[in-house]
Amino acid sequence: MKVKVKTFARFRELFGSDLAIDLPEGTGITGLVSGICGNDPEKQDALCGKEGNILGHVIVAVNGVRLDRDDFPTFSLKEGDEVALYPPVSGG
Amino acid sequence: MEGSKISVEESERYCRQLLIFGEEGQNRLKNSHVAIAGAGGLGSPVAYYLAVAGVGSLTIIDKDVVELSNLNRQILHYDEDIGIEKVESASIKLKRINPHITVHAKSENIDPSSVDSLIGDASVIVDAMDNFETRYILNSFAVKNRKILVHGAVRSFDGQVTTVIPGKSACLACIFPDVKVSDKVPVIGITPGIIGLLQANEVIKHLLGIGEGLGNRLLLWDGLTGRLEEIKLKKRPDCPVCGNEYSMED
Repeated sequence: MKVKVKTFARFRELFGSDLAIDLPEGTGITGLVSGICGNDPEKQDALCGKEGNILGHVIVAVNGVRLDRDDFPTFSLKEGDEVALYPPVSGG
Repeated sequence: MEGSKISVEESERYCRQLLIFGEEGQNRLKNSHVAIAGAGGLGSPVAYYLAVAGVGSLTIIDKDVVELSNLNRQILHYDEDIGIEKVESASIKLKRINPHITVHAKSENIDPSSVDSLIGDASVIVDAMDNFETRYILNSFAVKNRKILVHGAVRSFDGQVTTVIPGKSACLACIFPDVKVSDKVPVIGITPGIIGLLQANEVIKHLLGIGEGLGNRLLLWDGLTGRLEEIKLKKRPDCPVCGNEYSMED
């Protein structure tokens, strides 16, 4: 299945924006981010660590709706889903 | 409505916006008190535009003094202000730009023991801070005291805005449960300009009771692509700050 990943702020610099990703059916959020981080330590540090656990501050939205962290383990992506990955900014 | 009414001179000053919300709306702004936490990149445009719009009472809170490196983005402050308190610099400009408003300048740190007296009876708090440690203090105070909190933050060409409506919408602890401390954040002044004006727009709408606020909506501004995106949010029932709050509708 194909899903679209939109990235923002520092993630856009690291991962590029508007990624089209081909994933096995039933892949979840953790599988998605592990896939886009690969073995790149800089990407892992920014998004998901070596174990693929999405860092606590990262906001994940699917089709424009924020996905709660508690739902990550049970959530499965579907064909055509659009995932947004956003590292909140903090300056003023 | 109760409170003071705009003068003839003020009617002339605000005549273009009276065409939008009338004298009653303008009187409402005149009798409003907004606290702006931070007189930097975000706080500058927020304060400027709330002042010229005629929000009658502005409290500006910031402990810092003006430095040369502030001047690419903190448009309330000029070269000649370097070394003076930001709130003093802000107060001088705001009173010149609109002599009909009152500015309360508070050069203090916001911490759990000071926040109550600093915010006072302001009904709306603008989060124009540069760190999440203080934002969490403002958030807890706003939720507990049922004050509207308009959040903004920036980095480089990117920014975010949302509004916390206690009892109704997700609070900052729901939305950003674990934001790390960051050091020197890259910023071009345009970004806090845009985000600050979105915050000021939120404040005006709330004070007038018009439009649709940004409760449960996180706006993301990407200046490099010129796109504004929205993420829909909801309160977390287990939020340590607002999870036990009763809904305003209860």
